Amino acid sequence: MGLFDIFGQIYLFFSKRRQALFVISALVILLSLFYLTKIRFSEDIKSLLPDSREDFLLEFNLLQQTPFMHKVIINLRERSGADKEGLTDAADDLAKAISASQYFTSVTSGPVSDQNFDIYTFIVKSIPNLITRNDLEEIRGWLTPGHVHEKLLERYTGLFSPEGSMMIDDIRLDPLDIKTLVLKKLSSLNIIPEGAIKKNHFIDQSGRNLLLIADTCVDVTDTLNAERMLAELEEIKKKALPENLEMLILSPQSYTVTNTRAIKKDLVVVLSISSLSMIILFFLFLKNWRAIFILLISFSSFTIALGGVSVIYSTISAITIGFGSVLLGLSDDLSLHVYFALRRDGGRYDAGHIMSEVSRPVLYGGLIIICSLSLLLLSELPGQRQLGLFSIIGVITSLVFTLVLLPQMMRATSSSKEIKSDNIILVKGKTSRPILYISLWIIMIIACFWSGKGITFDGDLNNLNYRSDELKYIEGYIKRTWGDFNSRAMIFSEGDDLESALMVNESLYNYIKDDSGKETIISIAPVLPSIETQRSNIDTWKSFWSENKNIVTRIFENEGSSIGFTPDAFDPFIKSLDESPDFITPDTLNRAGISALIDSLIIPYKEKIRILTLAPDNERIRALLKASDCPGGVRFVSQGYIGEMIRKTVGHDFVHFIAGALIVILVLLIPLFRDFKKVMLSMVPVVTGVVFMFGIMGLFDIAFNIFNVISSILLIGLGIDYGIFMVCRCSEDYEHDTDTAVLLSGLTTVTGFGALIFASHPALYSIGITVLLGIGAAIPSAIYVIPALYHYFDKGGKKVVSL
Amino acid sequence: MPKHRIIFLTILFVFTAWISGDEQGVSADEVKTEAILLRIKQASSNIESLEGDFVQKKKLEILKDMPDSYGKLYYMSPGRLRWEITAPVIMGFIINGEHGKKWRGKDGRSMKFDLSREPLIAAISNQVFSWARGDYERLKAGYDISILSEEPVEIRLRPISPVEQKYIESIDLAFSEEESHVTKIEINDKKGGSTQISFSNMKINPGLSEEIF
Repeated sequence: MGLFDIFGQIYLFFSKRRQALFVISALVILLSLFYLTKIRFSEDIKSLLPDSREDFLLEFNLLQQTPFMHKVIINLRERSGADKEGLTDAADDLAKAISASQYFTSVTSGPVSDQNFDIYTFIVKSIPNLITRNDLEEIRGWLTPGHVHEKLLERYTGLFSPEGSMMIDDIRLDPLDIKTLVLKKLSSLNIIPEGAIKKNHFIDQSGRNLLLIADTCVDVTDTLNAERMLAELEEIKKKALPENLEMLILSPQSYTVTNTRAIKKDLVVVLSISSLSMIILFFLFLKNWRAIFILLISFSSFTIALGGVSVIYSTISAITIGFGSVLLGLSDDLSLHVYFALRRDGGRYDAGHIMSEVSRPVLYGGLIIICSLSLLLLSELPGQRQLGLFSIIGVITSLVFTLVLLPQMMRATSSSKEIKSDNIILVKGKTSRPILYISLWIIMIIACFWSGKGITFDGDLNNLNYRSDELKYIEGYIKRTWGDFNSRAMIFSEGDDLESALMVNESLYNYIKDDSGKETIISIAPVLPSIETQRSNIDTWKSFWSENKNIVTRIFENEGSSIGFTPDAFDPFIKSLDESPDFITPDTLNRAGISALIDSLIIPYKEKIRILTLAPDNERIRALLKASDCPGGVRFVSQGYIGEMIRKTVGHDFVHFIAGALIVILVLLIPLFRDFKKVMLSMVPVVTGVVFMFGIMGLFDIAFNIFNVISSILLIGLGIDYGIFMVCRCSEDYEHDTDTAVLLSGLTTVTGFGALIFASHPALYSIGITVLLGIGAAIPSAIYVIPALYHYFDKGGKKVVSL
Repeated sequence: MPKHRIIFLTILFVFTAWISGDEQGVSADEVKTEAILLRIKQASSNIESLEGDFVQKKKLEILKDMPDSYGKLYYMSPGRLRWEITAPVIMGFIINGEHGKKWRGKDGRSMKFDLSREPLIAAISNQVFSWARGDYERLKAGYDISILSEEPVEIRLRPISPVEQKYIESIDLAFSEEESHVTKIEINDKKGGSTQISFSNMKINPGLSEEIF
């Protein structure tokens, strides 16, 4: 008895226990349906990140924990431009309404300063704390009669202006305009480069846009509350917003909600289209009610796979479920071959004999798919591993049902009348024009090989996020209006307490400040140095003025008097040089009206303090932060960096998957055929599919990402199946309507994948389009090229030996 | 109509007027202010543009003696104002709707500014705009208004907004005989200093070029 006769024996065993088999199968399916009710969906982006590297996950967690993840940006736009005055009033009303919502903790519309301590007071009072040794050297250059005269004359001229009387205090306290040096330092807090502060609100240059920043308590991964929060904002908009104003909302939660909605919609569309097309295809090709068995096996494989995954994973990625359409198309490939064999030959041979014969290619095909998919379990990306497990369970179920359950169902419902009425579309015949097929195939392979050279890998997670047209518009509008404050790299300075964190933060700022190019670094270091640094600055300031106070007093007396200032005009300045200012603390900055920003940049985390710096996300900064002289306690996170890491992982996985899949195939094919030519011929659909997929992707600049890399494995697993069946069909006295089975299984797979191109979510779409290309080329190559090549080898060489 | 009925209606009318007047809290001063504002509004109702000279006198605590400055004013309805000092220094500002621009010195370099951050420029331009346009609702919303003199009309404004209150104590305005335009503004600041601007050679509705603004 050969190895594959065991399936004949299994058939005979269950033919006497058919009812029990049906009951057990039904129970298994019902059990999986029960588990389906417990499934919890997840859109957690973490599943797309390599989990083998702790540092990488830590960086991603840092990114998730930044206060920016809880900021909702609201842009109010005055449509007509006629009522700009009303913009601030409407913004205040709106801010009040939003603050009252349970989903928001506060709303910032502009600097909120203490009545008696505004940003000006902060600047003037903080001069000794913030002026550095370098600044003092610049001031030293100002202490000449000529420079002082010029400065005082400028101040005197200003007094003629209507606002002149407002300048008096400033002239008395800071006649040299030393505060301009502190003002430059404040620019390091300008997170909204294109904005300005008007009427104490963030308003753009045109005066038509106003920015509100709302703090929400909703986590970015909390889809349900994110939906509710955005719905509440819509309600507030309807109630509180005048008709001439438009409200644009952008927040990390907007992306969560948009993605969830898109995936849910896609699941319905994709699964409906793939199911419907399978039913239509079966109706067209099979014209037999028993085709429902194949559909039953496909849908059971899907539910059992989902149930199985839900036993192991607490949540299931929506992408995995979307992949169900593919599984529907995959799982019928095996059952179709058995179905055709039993239906066509059922009259001539007994089912046990047929099963012994057909089980070999079916089992090999199934094993190859399973082994190829097993490679996904080695992936560093949890999302890929879950998809792999889902597909493996699905294919194993399909294989078991195909080899054990299907023959019993077919036999239990067979009748001689039905067998004769079968309508097979493709009939095995002699291969015509083999040279033409081979030539066309070679030309296509060469052309695709050439255009596929430039294939790229994309690690940018943003490209796998669904962004609706509305969201893209809002993104673009806010970027144009307020500047690009969303795409900066984040650098965290960590310390056991605020003082040590501030010290790390200072070191970091001094380390990178000269290398940021034209882009500003957003850092609190210049305006909130550590107490130690402030103390040092104050000492240096006092020491400087103890040397120069008498000189400057004399110059002021002479030059001031010559212009017309009273003798005591600059007394407040001279007196201030001896004063000891208070240290600047976060509270000082809060009172000065920049609490929202300070709260965002100083982040308490567990027992520690992290201070956030926003820097340009470029190669130069990345290289600096990787260098050995980079200050300790600093951690760098950026979307670009994460993208780069994922890109490398995708590239690494891709090479491993392809190489692994090819090795698996060879290991399984060699014992199957024990003939080099047959092994090579079986590879034709795989090679054709992969090269065609590369060629078209290269031609249209479609990049590989973490999802469509999986497609290449599926393509190899599926393509080799077609190859095995067609080589068996060509080389042996083996007729089970293989052409039709290959064509139909290929078509159902294509519709399974093809349905994904109707998905709006980029991840699902990218899987669909790539495998569609591959399978689309693999099927014709299996049906036309393998017989043509076989014909050529068979005729030109020695007779191929069948096993 | 019977006599007693007329008496009854008269009493009812007077009583109702007294009740409603009491409810709204309208004092005799307020009534007078309203009447004067209405007079000014009628007198200035046909003003589309203005052109005139001014002399500015300032008293500032940090200067020994501040010379008078001289300049010109141009206004065009509804929201354009050019205010320039030509001697002894050169400086000025232009308000054109929402946009503000100011300059200092002979080189003519100008910089944009936000009116909300220049409360004194805002106070002057608001006065010009409000009186020229007869926009008393805006004035009443921003200031407590009292009448200093009825003939010629002199009005005192005290700012309500905390921002203006921080710098301005009061603004006194004197009107021309025909009550169509302001002839003198005196801004008293919180530090005890004052800015007095006297207008002369005022032309009502002169043909002004757009380029001025």
